[in-house]
Amino acid sequence: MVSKGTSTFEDGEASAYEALGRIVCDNVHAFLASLEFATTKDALVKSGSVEEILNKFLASTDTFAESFCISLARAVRQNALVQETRATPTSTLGSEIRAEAFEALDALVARHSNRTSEVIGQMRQVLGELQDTNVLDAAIDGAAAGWGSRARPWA
Amino acid sequence: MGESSKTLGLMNAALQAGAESEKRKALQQKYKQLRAQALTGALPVVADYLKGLHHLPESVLDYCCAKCFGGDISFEHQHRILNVVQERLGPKLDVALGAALSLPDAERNAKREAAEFAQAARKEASAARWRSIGRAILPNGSRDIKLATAGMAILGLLGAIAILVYRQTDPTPKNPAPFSSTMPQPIRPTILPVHEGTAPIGPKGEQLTQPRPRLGAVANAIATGAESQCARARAPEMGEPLTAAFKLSETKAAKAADTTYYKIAAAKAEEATTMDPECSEAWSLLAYVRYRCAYDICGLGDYSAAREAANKALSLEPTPKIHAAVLRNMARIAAAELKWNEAERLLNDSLSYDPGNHDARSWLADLGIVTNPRPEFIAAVRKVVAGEIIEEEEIKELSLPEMTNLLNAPLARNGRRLNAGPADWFFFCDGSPLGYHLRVDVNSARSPVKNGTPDSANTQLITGLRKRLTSSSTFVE
Repeated sequence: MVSKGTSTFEDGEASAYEALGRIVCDNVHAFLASLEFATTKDALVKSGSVEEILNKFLASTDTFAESFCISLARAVRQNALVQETRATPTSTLGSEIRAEAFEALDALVARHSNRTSEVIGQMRQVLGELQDTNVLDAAIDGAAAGWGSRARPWA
Repeated sequence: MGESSKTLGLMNAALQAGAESEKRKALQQKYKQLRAQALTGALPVVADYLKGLHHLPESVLDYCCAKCFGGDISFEHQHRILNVVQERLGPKLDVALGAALSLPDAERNAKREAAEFAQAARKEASAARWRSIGRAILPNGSRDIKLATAGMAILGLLGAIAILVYRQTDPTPKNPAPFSSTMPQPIRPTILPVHEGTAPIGPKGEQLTQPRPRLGAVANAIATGAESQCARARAPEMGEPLTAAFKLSETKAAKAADTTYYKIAAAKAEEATTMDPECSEAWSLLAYVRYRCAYDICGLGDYSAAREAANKALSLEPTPKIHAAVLRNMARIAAAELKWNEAERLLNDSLSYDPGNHDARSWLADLGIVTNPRPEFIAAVRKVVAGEIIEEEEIKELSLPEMTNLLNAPLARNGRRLNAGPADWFFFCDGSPLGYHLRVDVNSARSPVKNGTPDSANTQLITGLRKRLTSSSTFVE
């Protein structure tokens, strides 16, 4: 199927490789520039907190992967010699590129997300327990116990 | 009461307070440890991701060139381009990676410096206070100044101990964010809702890869932007109208149809939206309480004000959880207007933002029963309204949501509503396909109750069903 659907445009072939290379460079550059909040020496001072850095970072990675894959898909479709690829919608091709090329990076973020969610769950549980404790109520209960049932025999 | 009992009471109070304080301290310690664990685990992800980026150009070019050129691929061209890309990106990636690797150290240093600065500032403030007190009390440089200063220092020490004890007993903020930092908190951006957990779908509808990382859930848990937008509405000095509205909205009135608490809650929620017009949570709550105030079992309520508040909440780009809550409220409104399809669509939408939400799932199940009741369920309801006892075999035929709804049937028989939702309409209203057929039975069943006949059949039914609901998990969907 692939060989039947191919054509040759040898002059443009090298420029097609270059176009892909340029897209890779531009997107990774832009991503690194957008990561300034996490990758400069005074990142913490500027951002204020580690939480904010992580928060921004998680949002940036997803945006980066999505826009990068769409740019690549567009270029791949435009330059493809394979008819089947040219016929594939850009969004579908973008998803395929993400699934293949970003598999390791997405899995890394997913693992981290799961771990963090787990710890956050535990933190919420502890917070719930903390909010259930009340020193004043305990003191009043204790005092009531002293004045009430336990104290009655001596009263 | 004798003196001894009072003494014992005081001792008990002190002991109980001490035990509770210890418990709080242990919980606070655990919370700190978990937070440290979360951050320790989270920080390396930045560095790991940047390390992974080193290999990205290779895998991207490999896949894209294969897609582009198929069997006619030129490995020579591909390698040449890959080398150029790596030459250009390599140094920048290394610099970024170095900075990311130093983040944990920077965090520790920043904390230490902040603590040292705070300690120095406290010392200076304390010294300045004592100097001014000394000048005010002993303006002429009395010879007893040293003695007086020492006395005041002891008093100060006692005061400090008292403050310390107070802080240790109740240092937790009312609604602390799970990730709240010890450093000064900037206003954080609210993360836009992300449809997480969905896998990319291929042209034939097949799943192309594992589901996307659930970024939205984590980002939502970390982001406290929503909280900062509601800071005034939650501030104790402003009367905490948002918190008060939440509590009131959950307060149960003696009579189910009594909307007094909802009305007060609506006033408080309106106050909260005036204080913090950008607080989507307050608008969402306002939508809910306005809906409860306007609720009419048979679809005659005016929900325009509730809907207006819900739309306002959605326009503020809320976090996924709040987005889901607003959609659930809109679904309630649609259900109350007897627009079942719209309610179903909204509940499904809300689940895409908050997939694990129990309310949305149980409401969907309710809607399914209302719009398409099974004959077994109808037969069971008929028996209930006729005051007959349902046999064990018949209960086994029912699903959990059907049994839960069946528990409303005795209340229909007695002319009382249990909750606000599709089930009410199902049992009470003329327009209901089932209610219409049951109406005669319901009316005839009501009369003996009016005459004071014991309602033992219903009691047995409820007891039996509740046992079934708690003892069996086979009905859980």
